[in-house]
Amino acid sequence: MTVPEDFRERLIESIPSLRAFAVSLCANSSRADDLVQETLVKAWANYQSFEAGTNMRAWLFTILRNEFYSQMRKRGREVEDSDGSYAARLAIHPNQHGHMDMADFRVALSQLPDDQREALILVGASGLSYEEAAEICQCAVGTIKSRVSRARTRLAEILKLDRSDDFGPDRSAEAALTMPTSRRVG
Amino acid sequence: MAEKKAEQTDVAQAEAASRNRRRSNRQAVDPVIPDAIGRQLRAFYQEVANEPVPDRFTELLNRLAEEQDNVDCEKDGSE
Repeated sequence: MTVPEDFRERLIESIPSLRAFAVSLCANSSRADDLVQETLVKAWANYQSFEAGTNMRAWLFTILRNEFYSQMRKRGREVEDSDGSYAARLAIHPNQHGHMDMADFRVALSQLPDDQREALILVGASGLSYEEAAEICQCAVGTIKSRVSRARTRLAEILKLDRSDDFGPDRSAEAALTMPTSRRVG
Repeated sequence: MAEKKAEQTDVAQAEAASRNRRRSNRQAVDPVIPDAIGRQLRAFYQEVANEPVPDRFTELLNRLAEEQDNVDCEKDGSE
């Protein structure tokens, strides 16, 4: 029943990716680190269910994602407002120089529906395949492809809006206000 | 050191994935935007992934390993 040393080492190696994925899910770094902590504890307790030779990062991402959605279900709407993402949406305003900076990008990313954002991050940033992303999100590969495609289209729309100097913050705030304020988790 | 290597692998994987994506998803939106979005996405992810691992996590894993050793000792004692 002893957790093998190489399992522990691989857990440690996975922490940077886990943190990046967690931040992309909940846009709040202290909550993200709590999620990572919970993931490590669960992975440790369930190390026997990890099949050697399979992708550990995908396995850990699955645990982290399940934990995230289970917390969301427990906390409900409170999560949405307490992590400040609503305020972040209102803080969008056009970049003077018309180029995309990281702050704008984060805000745009936070406006995507959860399922689209996670698909985009898994495939576009973490380097996992569509197949691995589908496994993590427990859906079909085609569903992941369509989420990624919609996420990219939506991000492009948001960031264009972001650059429209004519309308400024009011236009952005209006767009933010028309966004659903509660995330539905099925 | 191991972390550094893992990060480099991540970057390499992300780059490879992005090359494949450029080939297959070009029609989704104006190609200039997906490239910019792709770069920004990887930068966003790497910004966090490149941060040093907070001590709380290595401490946590040390604690879990210690607890496990204690449990193992207790078991050995009772047998």
